Amino acid sequence: MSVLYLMVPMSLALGFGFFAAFYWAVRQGQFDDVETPALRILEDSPQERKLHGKKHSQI
Amino acid sequence: MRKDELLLPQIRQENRKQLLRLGLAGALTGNIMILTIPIYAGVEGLFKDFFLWLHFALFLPLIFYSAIPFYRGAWNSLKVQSLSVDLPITLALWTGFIFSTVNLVRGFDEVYFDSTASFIFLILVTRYFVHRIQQIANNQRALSTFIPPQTFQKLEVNGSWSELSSDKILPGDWLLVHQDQTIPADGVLNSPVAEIDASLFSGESLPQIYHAGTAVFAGTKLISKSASFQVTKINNSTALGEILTELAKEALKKNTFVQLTDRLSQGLIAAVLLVACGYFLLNYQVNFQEAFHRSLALIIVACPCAMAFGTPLAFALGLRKARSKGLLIKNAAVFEKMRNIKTVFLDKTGTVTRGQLHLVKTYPPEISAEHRALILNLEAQSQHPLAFAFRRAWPENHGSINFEELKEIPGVGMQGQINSSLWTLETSGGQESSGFVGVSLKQNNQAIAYFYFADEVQPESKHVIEELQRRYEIYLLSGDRKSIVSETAKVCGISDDRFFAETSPHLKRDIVAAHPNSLMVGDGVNDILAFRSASVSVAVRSSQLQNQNWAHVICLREGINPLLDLVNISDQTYRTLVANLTFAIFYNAVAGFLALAGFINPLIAAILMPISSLCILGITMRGIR
Amino acid sequence: MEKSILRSDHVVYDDDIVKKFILATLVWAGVAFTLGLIIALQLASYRFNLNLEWITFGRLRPLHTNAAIFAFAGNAIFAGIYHSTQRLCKTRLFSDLFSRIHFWGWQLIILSAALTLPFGITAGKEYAELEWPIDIAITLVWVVFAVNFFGTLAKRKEKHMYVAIWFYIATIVTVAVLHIVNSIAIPVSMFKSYVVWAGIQDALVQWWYGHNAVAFFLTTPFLGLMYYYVPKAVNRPVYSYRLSIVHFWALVFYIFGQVHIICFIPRSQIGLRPWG
Repeated sequence: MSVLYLMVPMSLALGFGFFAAFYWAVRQGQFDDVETPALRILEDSPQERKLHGKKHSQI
Repeated sequence: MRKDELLLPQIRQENRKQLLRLGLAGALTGNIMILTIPIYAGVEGLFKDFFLWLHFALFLPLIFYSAIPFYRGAWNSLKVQSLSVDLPITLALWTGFIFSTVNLVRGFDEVYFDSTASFIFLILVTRYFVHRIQQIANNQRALSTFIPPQTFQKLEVNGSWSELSSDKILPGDWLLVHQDQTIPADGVLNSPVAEIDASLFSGESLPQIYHAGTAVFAGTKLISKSASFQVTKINNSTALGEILTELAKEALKKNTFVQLTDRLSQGLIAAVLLVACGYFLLNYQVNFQEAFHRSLALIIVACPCAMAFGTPLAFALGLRKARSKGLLIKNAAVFEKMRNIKTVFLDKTGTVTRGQLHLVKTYPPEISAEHRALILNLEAQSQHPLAFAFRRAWPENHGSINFEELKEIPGVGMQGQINSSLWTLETSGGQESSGFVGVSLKQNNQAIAYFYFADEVQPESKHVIEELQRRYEIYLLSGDRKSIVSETAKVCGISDDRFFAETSPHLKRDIVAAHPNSLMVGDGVNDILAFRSASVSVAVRSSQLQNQNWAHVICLREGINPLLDLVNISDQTYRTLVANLTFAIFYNAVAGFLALAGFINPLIAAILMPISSLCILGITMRGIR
Repeated sequence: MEKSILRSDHVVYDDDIVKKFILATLVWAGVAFTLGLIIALQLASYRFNLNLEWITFGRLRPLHTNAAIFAFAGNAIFAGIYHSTQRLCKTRLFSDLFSRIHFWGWQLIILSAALTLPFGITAGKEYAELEWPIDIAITLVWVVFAVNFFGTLAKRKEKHMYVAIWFYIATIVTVAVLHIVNSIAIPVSMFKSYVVWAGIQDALVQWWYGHNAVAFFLTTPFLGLMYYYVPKAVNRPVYSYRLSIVHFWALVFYIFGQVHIICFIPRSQIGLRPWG
C-alpha cells in the first residue's frame, strides 16, 4: 500500500492547485458580486433573438 | 453601475481577505477531517505517523493565517482592558495546537487537530455571514438607486444635439434635462430658471426655484419643463456620491458598544481557567501526566461555541429577517440595545404623518365642478406636489379644457387664458407657520377661492403607537405649532403630557438626552441631533440621506409599522441568545466533567464538539424563523 | 441589474461543432444501448454469445461501458460544454480547427475501441481498458480540448466566470491527471503493455481513477451543464447562486483526491475488486 505515499500527497497537491485557482479568483474579484451573474445568463444575445424570433425558447 | 460598485476599495479588499481565510480554512479543515478517519479506524505504524504529520502540516496555514482575525480581536480587546470572545477562542486554539503537536512528537495519541480545525472553520463561517449581512445593510443605497439609467441630450461642440446615456456623462458636458427626469450629475444651471424637487437633500416637500448660475445636484428631480446645465461632478464626486461614500465609511468604524457576549466570555474564561488550574494543582502530585492531560482537555472542549458563533449567527439571521421585513439594521448591537429601551420618541412630520399634502379646507367650502375642472386642467401637466394633492382630492375625471394660453410661473403656480378670463392658481409661498399650505384661485387677479393643505396622520400610526404604549413611554416631538401637534397627539392616542411642540433641533436633542435608554424615530434634518443622543435611532422611509447616515436603523417600508417588527425581531433574537447560552452552560458542564474524569480523548472530542455546534446551529435557526 | 456593454452582435458562435457532437451522441447512444442489451441478454443466457469469441460477455462488456461513458456521455458533454461556454464567455471558441480535431479525434478513439476490445486487446483495468496507443491518442485529444477551452476563457468578454465554467475546469484538469497517472504503462508490443503499478498498489491507483472518473467525467460536467441549462429552460435564475459557488468549491476541495476511499485501505479491505 506504499502507493499511498504518492496518492495522498498528489491528491492534496491537486487540492492545493484548486486553492490557488480560488485565490486567483478572489483576487480578481470573481466573488465580489454573487447575485447578478445568475440573472445575466438569462439574457439573450442580439444574435439569438434574431435567430429564434419571439416565440422560441431561450436555449 | 453594479450593486457592489459603491463599496470602498478598502471594504472590498477586506471582504476578499476574509473570503480567502475562510476558503483556506474550509479546504484544510475538510481534508484534515477526512484524513483523520484512518486514525480512528486504527491504522498503525508508519502510515499512522504519515497521516498525523499530514494533519500537522495542513493545520499550520490555519493557525498562522486563517485564524489571524481572532488574534487581532483578542489583542485589540486587551489593549482596551476588556476581554472579548476572541480570547477564549485563541486560548482553545493554541492549547489544542501545542498540546497536539507535543503529543505528536512524543508519540502520544491525544492529537486534536481535526476538532480544533473544525472549530476555527465554523466560527469563521458565521462571522463571514454576519459581516456580509451587516455590510449589505450599510451599502444598500448605491448610487444607482438614486440615479436611474436615463438618456439625455448633450450639446455637441458643433452645436448639434446628440443622445447620451447617464453612464457616459463627463464633467464639462452640456446637458438638457426634461421634466420628471432625475438630474444625473452635479452641475451649474444654464437655463434662466428651473423648478427642482430637492427633497432628497432638503426635506422640503415643495420644489425650489433655481436661477441660472446656481448649482444643481445629482439625484434631484426636475419639475419644470426642461432645463440645461453644465456638468461639474459625476458619480462619487457628486454631493450625493460623497454622502453615500461617507455611509460606506461608517461601516468600517468599530462598534464601541461592549456586547453581552463579550462580557459573558470573560466569565467563561475565568471559570474554565480556574477550574483547569484548580484541578491540576489538586492532582499533579497524584499523576502529573494525567492531571496535565485532563486539565488541557478541559480547556480544549470548553467550547465558547455559543458565543463564538451562536451569537453571530443569531444576529446574522436576525438582521436578515429584519431586512426581509424592510428594516435595514446597520449593526447587530441594536438588538441588545433594544432590550434596554424604556422611552420612544416620535417625530411628527413625515414620521407619524404622511409628509404629504392633503386638501383639508377650502373657502368656499363647496367648490363647483367647473372650478375643479379648471384647476385640474391647469395642473394637468404639472409634477408639483400640490398638483398631486389636487388630483388626490378630486380623483374623478372632470373633462378636459383647452386653454388658449397655458403657462407655468416658476415659484408661483399655473396660469391659463380662456376667452376673456385669465385664471391663475398660485401658492402663497412655503410652508406657513400655521402648518397649512395655502393656494388661491384667481380670476383676472381677483381671488375667488382658497385652498388649504396639510399633512395627514398615517392610518397605521395610531395602531402602532397603541401597541408600543404597552411597553414603552411614547412621546411626540415636533417643531410645529402647539395646536397642530396637540391635534396629532390626540389622533394618535398620545396624552397631553407626552408631546412637545415648537421644539428646535437642539431642544429635541436635549429632551432625548434627558431620557436615557430611548429610541428616536425621525425623518428630517431637524432630527439628526436628537438621533445622536438616542440609544437607538430609526430613520423612516421618507428620510433624507443625512438622516440615514446617522440612524442605526433605516426603514424601507412606509410609516412607523416597521417599529413593531424591530421590537419583535429583537425579542426573538434575545430569546435565542438565552437559549444558546443555556445550552452552552449545560454542554460545558457535561463536557467539563467528562474531561476532568478522564473520558475525553481526540475521538470523543471530535464527536462532542461538532454535536454541540450542531445543537447551537439548530437552536439558533429554529429561534429566528 | 447591469446589461453588459459589449458588441455581442458581432459575435458569431460556432454551433456547427455543437451539432456534430450532438449527432455523435445520438449515434453512439444507439450503439451503447444495443451493446448493453446484448450483454444483458447474455447474462440471462450464455447462448446469446452465439459461440463467437468476439461477442462474448467478457469482451463486449468493456465495449459497452466505454461506449456509454466515453462515446455517449463524452460527446454529450462536449456538445454541452462547447455550446454553453461560448455563450457564458460571450465569445466564439478559441480555434475552429482545434474543435474539429477534437471532434474527429474523439470519434476515431471510439472507433479504435470497437476495433480492439472485441479482439481481446485490453489492459484489463475498469474504464481504462484501452491499450497504450489509444491512451496516448486520448491524452493528445484531451490536450487539444483543454487548449481550446482555456483559450476561449482567455479571450472571454464576460469577466465573471459563471459557476458552470468552474465545473468544466475541474473536469478537464482532473480527468487529465487521472488518465495519465492510471495509464502509465510500459509497452512491450504494438497492442500490449504493462502498467507500472502492480498488485495492491495498482488496485488503489485503479480505483482512485475509477471512482474519480465517475466523479469528474460523469458528474462535474453534468453539474456544470445543469447549472446552465436548467435556469435557461425555465427562464429563472438559480435559486441561490451563492450556494452553487459553495457547492463547487466544497466538491473540489474535499472529494477530490478520493481520499476517503483510500482511507479504508489501512484496514486491509480488499473489497474494492472491480465488479463483473
